[in-house]
Amino acid sequence: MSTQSMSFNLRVWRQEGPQEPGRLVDYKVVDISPEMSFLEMLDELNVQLTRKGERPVEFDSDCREGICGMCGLVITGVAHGPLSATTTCTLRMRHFQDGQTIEVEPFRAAAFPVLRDLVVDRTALDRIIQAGGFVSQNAGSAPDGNAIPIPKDDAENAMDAASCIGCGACVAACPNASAFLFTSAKVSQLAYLPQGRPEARRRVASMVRQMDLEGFGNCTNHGECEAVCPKEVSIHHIARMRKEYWKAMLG
Amino acid sequence: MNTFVSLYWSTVGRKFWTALTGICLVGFVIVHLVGNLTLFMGNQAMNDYAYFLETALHGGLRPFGELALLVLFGVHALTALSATLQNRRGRTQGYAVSRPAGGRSHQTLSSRTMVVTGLILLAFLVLHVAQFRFGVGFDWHVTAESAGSAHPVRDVYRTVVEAFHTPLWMGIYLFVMALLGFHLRHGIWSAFQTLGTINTPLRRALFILGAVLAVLLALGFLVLPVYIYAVVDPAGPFQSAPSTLGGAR
Ligand code: HEM
Ligand code: SF4
Ligand code: FES
Repeated sequence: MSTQSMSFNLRVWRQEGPQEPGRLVDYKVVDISPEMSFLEMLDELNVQLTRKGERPVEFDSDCREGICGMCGLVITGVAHGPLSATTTCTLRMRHFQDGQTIEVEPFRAAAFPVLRDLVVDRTALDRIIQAGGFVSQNAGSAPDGNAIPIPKDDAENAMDAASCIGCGACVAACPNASAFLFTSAKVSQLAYLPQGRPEARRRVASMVRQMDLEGFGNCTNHGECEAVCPKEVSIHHIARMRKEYWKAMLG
Repeated sequence: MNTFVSLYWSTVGRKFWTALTGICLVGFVIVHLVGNLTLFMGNQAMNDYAYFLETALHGGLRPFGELALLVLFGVHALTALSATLQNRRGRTQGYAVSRPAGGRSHQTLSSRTMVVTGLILLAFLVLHVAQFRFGVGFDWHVTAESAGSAHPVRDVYRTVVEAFHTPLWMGIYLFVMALLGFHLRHGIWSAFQTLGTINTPLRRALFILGAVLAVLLALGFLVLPVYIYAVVDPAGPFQSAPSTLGGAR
């Protein structure tokens, strides 16, 4: 462990409930080890607040190793903070300057109402996945391992799309609060594969319709989503989703 | 159920029309620019070109073309504006601090100001059509050679020369043409992405090529007013020799 310690001036969004007005509140945290993750630093803040008898700052997290997609904060104006291809939980304090002022805000979108402090309701994304429906499978005995040939490029593209952890950073970073990158990843992971072809047209149309019902914005190709996505999901999946959609429009 | 309307007016479906009309408009703008460059060949060439547009296909080209342009601009502006309004509702509470992430982002000042440059282009379009199509604010000259004929031909060349010797009009055109370039800096590559450019190297190439084309188009349109203002004599001489096209009439 490094003996070095850092301190930061935090400006954290505090909000009692969905209907309550919120505001940025200033806190100072000291004795932060550079190896701490951003969330561990917030844990330290909460220890400090609890000792003072104040209500701790609420934020989401689960795996704390960058795979579950629960965490997600806008840090110094960038979703998941300044480091690319990184979740909030795997961002280390050494990536900040000692004494730096750090703004911490929740992911903002009309479809992501703030529940409390930094916790937002992202179930809209779950409903988009649900709208995708089922994938037909052949029942019966297990098929041969390589019975369905899939070109390597297609398999890799599908895997890249499937690496989306559903964190919602793409929505948070998009100037239009659009969920195109997320939705396109969920469309693309199937669209590249022969499985699920029978339902392809219905699937993409239904997912897009659900996305619109939730109140997300339009994609105008800023590409900000790809830059903040911790899994570097490419906007080529957005183009892929649109192509799937043109088929649904014409068919 | 996915109905016709829900498919064609969804966030994905609507943008298809913005992109398709946008691409067609880029095509139109290129043709328009090439046509305008006849001005460098002198009054004869430009007026012949104008005469051609008016009379081609037994006079059918112009009404058809104008209708097509009206639809293109109308659909483009309508779909784009309704999408922009929807985007406003997408984030009701903004960030206290927000920075572009850089890196792989394609966000530019141009991409953030599309609706602003678009609306200015729309306002300009009204002025532009009023001036050069309907001659509002200009004496309606006819070419010398056609003055007495049954089918008088407008001296478009002279109208343009007079317009661009007015500093106000010159300034407005220069400003708007720069904005057109700005609109297209994001617009061109974005339209390809919307229509489904999948391949990442191709997308990156289009991002650069789109910018180059945008600059070339803006420069092309900027050169004309400047050339007229600086080089062409506002007093003429204007068309006096019979036009070859006119002669055939
Ligand atoms: C009538 C006035 C116009 C308005 C109000 C307007 C507005 C807009 C808006 C708001 C967008 C969407 C912004 C975005 O995708 O980020 C857009 C996109 C675009 N515009 Fe325009 N625009 C106008 C004229 C033009 C003209 C004259 C051209 C071509 C010469 C053009 C070409 C494009 C292209 C290619 C796109 C990209 C479409 C896409 O991303 O899919 N626009 N316009
Ligand atoms: S596409 Fe990337 S940023 Fe968007 S939800 Fe998936 S992992 Fe998060
Ligand atoms: S807590 Fe699981 S990805 Fe950050």
